Amino acid sequence: MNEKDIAEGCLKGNNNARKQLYTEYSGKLLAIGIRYLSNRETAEDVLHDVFIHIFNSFDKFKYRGTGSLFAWVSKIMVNASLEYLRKNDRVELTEFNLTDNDTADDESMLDGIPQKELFKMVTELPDGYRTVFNLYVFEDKSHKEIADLLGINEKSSSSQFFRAKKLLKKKINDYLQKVTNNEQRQR
Amino acid sequence: MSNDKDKWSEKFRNKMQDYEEPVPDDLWRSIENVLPVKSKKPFIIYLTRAAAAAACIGLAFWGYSLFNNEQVNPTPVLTLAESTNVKTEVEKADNTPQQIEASDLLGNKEESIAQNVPQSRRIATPVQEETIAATTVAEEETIATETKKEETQKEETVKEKQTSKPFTLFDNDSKNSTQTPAQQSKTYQKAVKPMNSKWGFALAVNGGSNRGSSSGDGFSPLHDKFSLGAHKLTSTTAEDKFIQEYQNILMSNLSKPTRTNVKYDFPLTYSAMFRYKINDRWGVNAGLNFTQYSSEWESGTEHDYYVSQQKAYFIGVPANVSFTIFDSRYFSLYALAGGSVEKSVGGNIKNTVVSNKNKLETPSIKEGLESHPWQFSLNAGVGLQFNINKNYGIFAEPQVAKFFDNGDLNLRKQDKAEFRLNIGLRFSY
Repeated sequence: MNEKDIAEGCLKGNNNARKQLYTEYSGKLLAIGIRYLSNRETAEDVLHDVFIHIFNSFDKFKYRGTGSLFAWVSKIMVNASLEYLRKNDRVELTEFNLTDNDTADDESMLDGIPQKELFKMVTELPDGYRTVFNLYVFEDKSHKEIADLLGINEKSSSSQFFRAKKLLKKKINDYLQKVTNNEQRQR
Repeated sequence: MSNDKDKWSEKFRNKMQDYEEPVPDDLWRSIENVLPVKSKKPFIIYLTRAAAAAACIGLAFWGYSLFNNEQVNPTPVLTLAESTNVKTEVEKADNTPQQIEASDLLGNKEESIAQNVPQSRRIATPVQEETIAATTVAEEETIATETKKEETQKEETVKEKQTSKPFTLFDNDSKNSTQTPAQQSKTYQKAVKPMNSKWGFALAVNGGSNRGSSSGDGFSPLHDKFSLGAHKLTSTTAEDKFIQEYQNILMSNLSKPTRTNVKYDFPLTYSAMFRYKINDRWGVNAGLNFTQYSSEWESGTEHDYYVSQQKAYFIGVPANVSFTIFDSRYFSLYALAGGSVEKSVGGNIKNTVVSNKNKLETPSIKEGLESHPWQFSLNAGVGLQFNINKNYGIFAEPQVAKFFDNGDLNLRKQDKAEFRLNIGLRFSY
């Protein structure tokens, strides 16, 4: 069953297609939820509601080629997560004193980090940093768009992002340092 | 949207884009339980179509019977020309109110008939149950004439001289009727009570409450021929692909908890039944019916499972007895109890494998049912019929049915009585 078949089946209320969609995307959507909410149980609850919303509003989806179905469901998951954060007053800007100097962008530092570790590092970010970081990096929003979405000013969005990035780099460096130390001890 | 994201951010996104987290096993079940199930064709559509079909057949039957009546009625009729030699005599009915002297209304009977009825006109005998019951065609010739008088249709039965039975004149107009109220009531009831007809023929559609689902722990394997080692893959036919994928999920599910969920759709039964009334209360019904069942079940783990969609068709002989509780012009209420014997006459099963490792391919095979078992059932219920006229009625019969073992076909929840609703059209004659 390809993406188009799944979409058509879900539109008709076909249970096999629904399950296929769930099987296909539930893991990715849960990851998105945890990335925004930093809590597995909460993300699972939101995911439950999101799937029900998806299946009940499939008539609003228009298939526009491969990838359009996941783009649609992931957008719903992101919006639901943001809505949860808003309702629980968790879209607050975070001030975090970083004493270390900012390091230069070194993309290669990401190569040696497993996905799971990076994921964990993002979920450990403070709410404000994490929300802006997710919207900027994964939803490809500009700081202007993020500012409109969260009701903050553009500079604050930019500031939150750079602080998030700085904190992540620190965590990555710490992790890499830890791995290096372990390797040296083993030798 | 920003197009000038720094490379570090882009790399971060690309690295994490396809990241997944394991989903709890029972999440899908909890989602599925609250989703509205859209059947392919809602039950009400089936019912509407079946009712429309029953109505069309009923109308055709009605039209046919009307056409037949027109041909049958002239049988006992004589043309006036043919009857000129018949010496008739009107006898005064001195002991029954229905029988009044024709001369009171017609004066000289021969003159009246000659004057009022054109010779070429055929004279129809009115269909009156009491008159027919009181006389036999062999014993007498009955001539009825319709006068051209405006307000009522006067019908007369002229008996031949050699018969001793009186001439009967019947007036349908209640204002001019000479019947007693009790007799009028009796005549009226006979005319409108379909339940008093000896025979009845009913077309109905029956929807059951069998729709539902059940689930349980454990794997429910497909036929043995698909099991591990039982099939030697020789080619890349659809069946081989299916078996290969099925065996893959068997292997991957070996050490995992599995579940089997079963769903049953509404069974639909179309029936045609005759009714014979033994007396005013008791009647027996028998006929033929056709039932279609569909069910679907899936078995395996959340990510690796198979789905089977089964359709089965049965032809059966239902029979029951009915007891009339209440009968009136518009409504009849009756109880009924009986059973049916059905035999599977066809069906098919489509098996599809869904595997997490190969999500985009869901090989499937479709094959006929291997067994065609018998099925037995008992049922009891009540029926309410709306009498459109003396011949036609629309009925609804809510019933409880108990089905017995039907072999290995997965048609319904076992050991549970079903509620069924029979809706149809009955023709009585």
